Amino acid sequence: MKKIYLIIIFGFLYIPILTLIALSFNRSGLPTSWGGFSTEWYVQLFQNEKIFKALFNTVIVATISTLIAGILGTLLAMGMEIKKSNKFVEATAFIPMIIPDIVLAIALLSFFTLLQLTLGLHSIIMSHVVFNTAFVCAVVRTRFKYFDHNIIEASYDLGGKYTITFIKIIFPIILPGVIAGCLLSFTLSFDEFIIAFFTAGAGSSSTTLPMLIYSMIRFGVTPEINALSTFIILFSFIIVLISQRSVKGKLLI
Amino acid sequence: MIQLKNISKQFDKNYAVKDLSLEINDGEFFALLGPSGCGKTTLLRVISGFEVADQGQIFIDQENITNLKPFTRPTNLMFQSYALFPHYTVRKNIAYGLERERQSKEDIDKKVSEIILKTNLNGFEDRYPEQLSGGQKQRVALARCLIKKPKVLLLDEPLTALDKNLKEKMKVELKNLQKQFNITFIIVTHDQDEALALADRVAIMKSGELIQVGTPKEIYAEPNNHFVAEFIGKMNFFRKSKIDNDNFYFLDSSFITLPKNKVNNPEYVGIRPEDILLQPNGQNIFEFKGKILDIIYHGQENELIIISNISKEPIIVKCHKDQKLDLNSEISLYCENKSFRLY
Repeated sequence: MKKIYLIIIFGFLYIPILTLIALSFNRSGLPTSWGGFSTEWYVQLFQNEKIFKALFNTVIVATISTLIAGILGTLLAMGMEIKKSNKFVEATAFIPMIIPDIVLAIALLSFFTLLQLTLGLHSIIMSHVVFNTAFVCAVVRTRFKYFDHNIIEASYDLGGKYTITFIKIIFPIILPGVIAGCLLSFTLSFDEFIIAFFTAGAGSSSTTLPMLIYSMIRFGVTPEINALSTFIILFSFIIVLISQRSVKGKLLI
Repeated sequence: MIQLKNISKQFDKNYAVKDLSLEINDGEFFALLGPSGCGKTTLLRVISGFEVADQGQIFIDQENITNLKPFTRPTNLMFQSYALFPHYTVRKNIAYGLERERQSKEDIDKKVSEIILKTNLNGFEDRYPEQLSGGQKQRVALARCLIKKPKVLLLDEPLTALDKNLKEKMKVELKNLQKQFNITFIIVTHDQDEALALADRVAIMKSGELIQVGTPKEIYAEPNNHFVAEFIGKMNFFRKSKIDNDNFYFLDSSFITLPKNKVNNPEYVGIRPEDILLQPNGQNIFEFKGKILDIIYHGQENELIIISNISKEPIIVKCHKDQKLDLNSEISLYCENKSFRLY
């Protein structure tokens, strides 16, 4: 009985996704009729320069914003866990995670306009750093709950100054959390649409993959997009697997 | 020698340690004993440098260390939780302190191997802390501190986390290691047995102040106030029922004559359970009658709980296992006058 329940829920979650994957191999290219198995949409996908340019932009945005957020989020988590933060700081660090994207998007756009900042990939990156930092911080903090904080004082006591203690003791222990947080923030950044759309500015040079897909489906869902989405799903799945392993798994060193 | 001069430390306007001065000799095993919240752990953290005293100074061998950071103090602290590095093996945990001193690899390896033998950790070198038992973890924590050859080793409730049998074993081991390494040990504990069994000298703390400092024998035999008497070992207390300068009157108006030149007008007298006898013995005997309310079995020496007219509270008396006594029977009890302590 429990199994059936599980199957129903997983079906509910995954049948649409499986449909999309199946359709990406549909020769007819129509969602309404099956024209036989074909990989031609994948071939077309790889010949589409626009898609590759957008993919490149997305990877740049996701990588750089993840690196910055990884550092900021880890430091924030450390400060909050070791120095003991108050409720106000806790809430403030949490808000970028739960605030509606559209609100954050408008806020960031207004802010950039106020600063008279030219918009482009760099402004998308800065915007993504905002929510990614909050996510990295949240994940890294779970790692801090996992060990006895006295080991930090023990390290000082045995002659390890602040930097050495961070390098030798704190960082190796929280590293799995940092990796998991970075992977999460990479996937979030990779498929983020609303904030990128608002803060990208005019011009196609800063179009990211989600933005390109959005502009493409205004003329109907093409099988090419199905093929692309299949790749993205596969990619996300792999990242989630790695991230789970690094949180659950033993210490990496 | 370690000297604490007028140390005070406040948290939110409450004194955790209040104007405390203390001298501890080289090679001494010293215990700070007191109930939880008495400031003993704060004092330990002030000595190790994790808390900065609001007032006062700390000297070790005449050197003022008051303003030194924990990593430059000649002290090491063994944490109650042991605080072993979970991602390091036993060997690396122990070597950590020497690596920070930038000693050569050969020296470190040699010293680590030596101390592993001395602390009976051979065979466990390559294990991680989570693969060790409580006693082994403690030995690693000890070895990790001892290898630094600190002038003072501070131990925060070292035996609290261990079960009873292991506790007894570790007591012996701690004492041996302290002698072998000839390092001053300062141990913090709330367990009076632990303090009395281990320490050369014991300091009783209450509300951030020292109440009494002395050898275990002195403190047990001559507790200098009601608090210490109650905290160290067991003590029966009797409240006076009449104001009189020469005699102390019990509840039922029986009395003992007070010695001259002692405490004036004591509010209480106290007597240790083992000083109440079932047969008259000695001089100046005070005799009273009581009924056995309960017998608490401990093995060799059992405890009688007695109700008597001389006190509202039940009285605890020691008796040997061979004594045949019945519940609810009336018995006579005897104490020498000089066994009474006046408070």
